[in-house]
Amino acid sequence: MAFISKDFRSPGETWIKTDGGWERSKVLECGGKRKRHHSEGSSSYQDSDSSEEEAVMPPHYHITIRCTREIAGFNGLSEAVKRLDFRRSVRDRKRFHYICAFLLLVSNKGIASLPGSAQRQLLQMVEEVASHVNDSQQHPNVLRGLALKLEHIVSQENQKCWGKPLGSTYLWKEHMATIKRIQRVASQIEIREPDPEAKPKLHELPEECVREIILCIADHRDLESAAEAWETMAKLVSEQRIWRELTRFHFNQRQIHTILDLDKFKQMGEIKDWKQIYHQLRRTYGVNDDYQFAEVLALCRSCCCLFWPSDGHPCIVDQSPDYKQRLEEAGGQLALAQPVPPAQFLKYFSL
Amino acid sequence: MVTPTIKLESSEGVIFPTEVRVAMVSETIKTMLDHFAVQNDENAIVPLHSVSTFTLGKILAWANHHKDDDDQSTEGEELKPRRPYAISPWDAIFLMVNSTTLLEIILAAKQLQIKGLLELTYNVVANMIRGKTPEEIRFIFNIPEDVSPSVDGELRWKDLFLWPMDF
Repeated sequence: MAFISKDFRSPGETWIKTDGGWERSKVLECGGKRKRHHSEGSSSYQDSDSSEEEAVMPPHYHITIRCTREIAGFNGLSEAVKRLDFRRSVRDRKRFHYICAFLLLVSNKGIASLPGSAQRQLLQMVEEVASHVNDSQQHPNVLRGLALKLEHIVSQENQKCWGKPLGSTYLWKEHMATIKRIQRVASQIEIREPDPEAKPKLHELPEECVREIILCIADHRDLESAAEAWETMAKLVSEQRIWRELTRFHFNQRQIHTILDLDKFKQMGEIKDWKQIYHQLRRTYGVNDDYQFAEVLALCRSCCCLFWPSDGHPCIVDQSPDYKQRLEEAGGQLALAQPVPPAQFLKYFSL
Repeated sequence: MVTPTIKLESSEGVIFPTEVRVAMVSETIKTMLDHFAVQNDENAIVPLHSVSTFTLGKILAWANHHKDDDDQSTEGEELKPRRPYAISPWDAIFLMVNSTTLLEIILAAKQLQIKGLLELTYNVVANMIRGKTPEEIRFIFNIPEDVSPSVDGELRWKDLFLWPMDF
């Protein structure tokens, strides 16, 4: 007779009925029954029932990076988006740009190739972006861009199957209604004119304050936009120090010296136009776009878990017997989380 | 043991009894206390006539939360991080204010010389500029700009915002 026991290879799956249908609830063997204490400073865990645990557990998603015989390498985009709480994160100032970049990448690849649940999730997220833009009166150009992309996708899909989109008729009817709502919001956004009485204004700040603000901007496009906004900013942006600092932030000494040698300059002090040097370096080496996001998803190397760094995740690394040894070898600092930009995030789902 | 307190007076005349340790987050107040030795005098009031009641309340709330922080000030511009540093959840909620209030906090923090708060607010303003068109920057920060008329009549304010960026 076969020995029936818990399958050691799989954490098992449970299904829960929700308003949106049946949802899979992955239960981790190691970390499923643990709960974070409510006290702010404490990071210890205690046993509790799963209903309490769900309320406290920060949003995270376990992904399969490598395929093995035991584990099929499949990650569901709709499940990841739901578990990482993307829809609610739209209203988070730090995560807004990341999620918009993700939505633009997905819409560029075409949402029609995604599963139905993922399509629905993504359109709900765009609708959330529309609602947030309408409420906050910020980034309407981003919403407008997304609305145009959706319009383009619809016109493309309508040409596929005798003037009708390919796929579930009911699902596409639902999508069309959502897209119409998004476009209505995008076209009806009322930008209120600034109050002339409101004080202080940015242009009333001392010049040194504005300079410090400029020094915190790490994208040349933002510097150029700020320069176009008003005269003082333009004057400050044209300063050599701003571009020198920007160059030193993006490129290392070796790269800078390579360009300087090409230009027959031997010392940095001889450089007159740092803006030109920056753009030359940018064309030669390119710049990393990840800095434009205030918060980027992170991947925990020990438990293959995607999470938001500001929320953390229920990591089980401290239970690993060799963790302390590895920690000592690394000199007390072990980089366990690596940033996951939007393009990398999509690669996990073969997109 | 009773914690030593001093009284700070806002521009509207509202008095804030404050722990000396909290008030010392401000270099200006610290210099005042050292120079005039008022921390032993219970009735002494430090006047801050250029700081409004609301702004002073906000600044003291921030100072109270950060009173135990290590001073990690770095000398020289070489070590200055350009990239906006990770803003803590508490600070993010604390600075969920409109741009006018934010600029008031910057002016007050500059006058009171609170380095940590200044760096934080500079980064928040930089984040507000990030990814925006010049028109949006003008709108958010109340920068007056004469909008030139377009070919087919006057260009409306909202038209500036609804034009998509190059994606």
